[in-house]
Amino acid sequence: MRALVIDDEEDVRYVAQMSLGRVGGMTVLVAASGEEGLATARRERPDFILLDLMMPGMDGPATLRALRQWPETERIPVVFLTAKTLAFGVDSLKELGAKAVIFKPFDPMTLAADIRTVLQ
Amino acid sequence: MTDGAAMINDPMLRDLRSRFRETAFVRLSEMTSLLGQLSSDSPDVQSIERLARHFHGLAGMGATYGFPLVSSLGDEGEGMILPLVKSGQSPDAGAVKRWQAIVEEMRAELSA
Repeated sequence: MRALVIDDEEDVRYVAQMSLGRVGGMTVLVAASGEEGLATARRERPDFILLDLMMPGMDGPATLRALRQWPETERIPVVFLTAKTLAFGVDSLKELGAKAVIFKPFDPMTLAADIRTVLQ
Repeated sequence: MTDGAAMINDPMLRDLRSRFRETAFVRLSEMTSLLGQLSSDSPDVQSIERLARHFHGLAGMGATYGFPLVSSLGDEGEGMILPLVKSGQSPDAGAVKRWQAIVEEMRAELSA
């Protein structure tokens, strides 16, 4: 399974890489911004995207909307990763097309299993 | 959320925790510097936004790396600063003083 992690925080990218890669046995691609993530997703077509909600520039919802506009990325499942839903409640994120929302802090040992569960 | 004991016993988690501690100390140093500017000069929007990003990052990931107090302190700091980011207002002296205390409490937690 190939994952794309889009998050501006290096700490998050790193722990997600370790959790999904070493613990979950996935191939993990990373991107530090919504713009970079969109380009990576279009090029690599991952099996799912773990997407941060709050990012400078193109934030999570804007990135998801952009992903849905391209035929090569429109069907890729997106799981939001967020500390707070702020103006975006879970229902709003799902209405945007998110498959699920995972909240920070998360357990690095169970993140991969949690994502597999929500993707089923 | 990850408990501290598991993080110490599992090699991968122990490495993650150690790495987070290193990056968090770098963050805290920058936060101290930003707070010094806020308390002495007229604050600029970029400094406040930068500070908010640090609170947000520490709040989001502290407990993931086995530092729940860092997350709760980060939440408190973020909750105080986000209204200022949105409004463009300057923080008062009390807010800056509390943020400085939060940074020191985080530093103490990460040093323990």
